[in-house]
Amino acid sequence: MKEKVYLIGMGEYKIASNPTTLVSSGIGSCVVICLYDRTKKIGGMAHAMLPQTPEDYKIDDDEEDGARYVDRAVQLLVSNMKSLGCDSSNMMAKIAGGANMFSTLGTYSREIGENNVEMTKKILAEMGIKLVAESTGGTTGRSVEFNLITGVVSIVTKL
Amino acid sequence: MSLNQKLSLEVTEKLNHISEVAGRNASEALSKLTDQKLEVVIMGFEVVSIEDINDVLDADDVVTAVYLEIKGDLNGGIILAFPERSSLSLVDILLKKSDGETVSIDDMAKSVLKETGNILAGNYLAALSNYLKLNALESIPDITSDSAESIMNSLAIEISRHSFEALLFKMNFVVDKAVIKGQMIIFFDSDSAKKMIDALK
Repeated sequence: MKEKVYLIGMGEYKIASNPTTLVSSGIGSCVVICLYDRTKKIGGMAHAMLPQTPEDYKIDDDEEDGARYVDRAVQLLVSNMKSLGCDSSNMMAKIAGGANMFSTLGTYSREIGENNVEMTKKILAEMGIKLVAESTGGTTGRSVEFNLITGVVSIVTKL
Repeated sequence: MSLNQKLSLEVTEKLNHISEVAGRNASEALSKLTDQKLEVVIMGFEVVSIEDINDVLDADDVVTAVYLEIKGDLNGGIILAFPERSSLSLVDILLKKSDGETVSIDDMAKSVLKETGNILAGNYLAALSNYLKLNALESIPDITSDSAESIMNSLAIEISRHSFEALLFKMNFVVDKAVIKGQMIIFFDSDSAKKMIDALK
């Protein structure tokens, strides 16, 4: 079977099964969450922008903006993988992003990368999913490739 | 109401005119600074949703980007981006070095490029403020080198503080017969864009 490659843009997520590579490029302060069930060889990637869903967020908007917020992005990845027969006890997570590209950029965006990473870890812990690897923080942008044949997540930086 | 819905034909024409006036003002400053003939293409403006901002810069590779925040009646940012080779050539010209002498963006090069950003942004915003009678001042500049996508990704997060769409002006310029190519992108958050539109009515 020919390997499929899906590009996951800002605010998007995708669940797929082997043989597939999920790719997300140009990650600055955003965080990319990769979940993998090794036994089923099913995985998902979300490219989230902001830590927490606002209280007044309309749930009807989810279809387009599902993975805009870290908390919902993780929940959507987990629930969609479960609907394909995965068990959260078999899922492992790898995350990347949360960089601070400009030191003088507003306080909001300086902190947002860090908050995105913290929120990801918090939600994963609450859902009982093990975080096995991370490439987070710093001042450099990243691109992420998630191979669902092997579960390997590769990080590419331009510098 | 989304920004696009607020843009009447009359307002669109006026915004295009502002883009032209402010863009020319900024490019004349760069022309004087480099003492080189400058070709400028004013790309006009567009309303961009936050999820599409990563693709705004026309570059696949590493760029050197100077960023300045816009504060006052209008809030947003200005980004001046050069492909890596262009940024080195620009430093050669500004420091009156021979072509190819600058091989990396050291502290002196950073300082020169930041000052270039300062001058361009200051001239652009002066023309804009004058036309709209709205206050818009630039912050001190910051500089980084990375993939164009990653740089815009971080700016998207900054914009998302206020809204999930932005009004974005673009201009491309070529200095010294295409030795240096660059892009300047000026964006305003949703509230600022509405103020601009109201000021033009």
